[in-house]
Amino acid sequence: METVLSVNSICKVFGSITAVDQLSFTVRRGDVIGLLGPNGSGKTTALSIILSVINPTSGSYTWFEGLKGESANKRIGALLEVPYFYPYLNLEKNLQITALARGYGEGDIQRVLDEVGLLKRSKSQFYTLSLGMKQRLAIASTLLGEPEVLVLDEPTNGLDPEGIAEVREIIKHQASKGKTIIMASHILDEVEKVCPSVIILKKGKCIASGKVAELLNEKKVVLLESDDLDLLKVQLGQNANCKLIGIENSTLLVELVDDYSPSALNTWLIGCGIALSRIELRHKTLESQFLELVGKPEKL
Amino acid sequence: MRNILKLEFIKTLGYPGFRTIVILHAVLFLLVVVIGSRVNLQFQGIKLDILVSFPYVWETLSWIGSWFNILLGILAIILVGNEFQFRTFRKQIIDGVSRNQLLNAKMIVMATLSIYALVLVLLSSFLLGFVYSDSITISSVFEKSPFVFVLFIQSFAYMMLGMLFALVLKNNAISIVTFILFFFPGEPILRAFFPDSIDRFFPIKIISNLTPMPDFLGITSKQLIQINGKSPSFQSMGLMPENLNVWFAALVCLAYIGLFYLLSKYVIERKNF
Repeated sequence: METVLSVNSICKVFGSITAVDQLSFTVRRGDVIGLLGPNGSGKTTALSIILSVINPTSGSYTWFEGLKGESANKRIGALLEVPYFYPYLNLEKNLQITALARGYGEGDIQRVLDEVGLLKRSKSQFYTLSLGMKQRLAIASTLLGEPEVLVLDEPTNGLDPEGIAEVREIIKHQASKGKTIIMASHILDEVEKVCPSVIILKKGKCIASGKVAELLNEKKVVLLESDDLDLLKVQLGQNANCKLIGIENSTLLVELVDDYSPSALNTWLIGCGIALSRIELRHKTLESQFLELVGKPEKL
Repeated sequence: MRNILKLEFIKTLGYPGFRTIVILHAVLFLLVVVIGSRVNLQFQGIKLDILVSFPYVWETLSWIGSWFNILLGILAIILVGNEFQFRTFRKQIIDGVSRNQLLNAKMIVMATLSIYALVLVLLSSFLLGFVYSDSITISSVFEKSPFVFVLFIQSFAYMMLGMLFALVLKNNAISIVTFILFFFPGEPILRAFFPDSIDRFFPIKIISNLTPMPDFLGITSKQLIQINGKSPSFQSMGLMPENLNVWFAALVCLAYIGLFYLLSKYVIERKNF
């Protein structure tokens, strides 16, 4: 399959801060990839580099197997951070500017405004819009002229729950047309619902990448209580099918391997002479696994 | 590039600040010209009307026009500074406009503004010249007319300098204040450390001297007072410094425009948006 984007060891240093550190990844035609990471993990800087808005300190990237800069950007619909438009111009004129910059899509303005629900406001000046409407306009500008690639940085910023759902549907619809989509977000739920693959960033580095389901598979966690907590801890340490991951008051949090059931654990503990006063199954959320990956304290 | 120019004019003409400053520029210039031409001062042996009759009207109105060129320089700062304030340079790069195209499009807008300033002075000079000249001949009408074309170079040079300030400082207020302070007292203080032979080549001095104050004394008294067979002038009386030949100065200004362009290109290509 054709490589749409190839990023090779890009670095960006701002003074003493390394915003992006040796980041490499490849995007193939039709991929829908999420760049996931907490605030300040380098997602926007990485996207700014591949969109030629900022120059990398080192490393390289190419679009469409050899293109870079404006010739590549013309084939990409991109939204970077917050929407940037001329506040004194109306929505139509602002989109006309985007279409002229790309060299196509002037006849597509009414359609994209309709798609994001802003057709009735087409003659309104940009500064009169709410934050959510501005975000919708930014998404409309990415769709102008049906570009083959979409790069979306926090596309649901400032939107209400209904708006978030609508934008998610728009992105899914674009993905179903076979478009290549790169979406950055710090919200796992947003990425997980749209992107089959993710690249997880932390302090500018890629700490994990692959299919969401493989990276963040839901694991079984059980809460255990017993009169002799110390003995319970010692016994659990001898069982390769489980792993002690935390202690809350007098409760042990234990993660089980995929095919090991809570009843099997209970049976094994009885065999070891330990009677549990409580055993409760909990699913470890994707959110908690993501936070574990990026180094935040785990909450269950 | 046609698309880029079209989008540049959509955003420039749609900007209320642009329309206001251009209208203000035209109104102020025309007001000064109209009021100035109606002043009826009578000194013994001196006729002021001659300043607005052919061929001297070209020099007079070019000089008056130059007073307002700083407004065009400030307008250039605002047009470039707005792109940073609204972060629309960033948006256009994302949409596929090259950094060179951003710069070239702004330069074409500035060249258009210089043509506008030129046409304004050209038409006003023709009008006033025909109204106030006693005798009109082809040679008297066009004798000093090329003078008005240096006004184009001057206004374009001011705008190029303004754009460079805006590209470096990225902030309208700071750029405008720095630009004005560079005019005065920045460059004059700097010039004080250099001898006259070098001092006259400093950018603001040479650009502003493209349209020097007409030698009112020499012009008005030309046919009436003769001292040792020569008309007196501010320069012969030591009241005004000898200026460089205007066409040589224009060439130096064109070199400065080239320098401002190269510096702007250097800045825009290395800038993170």
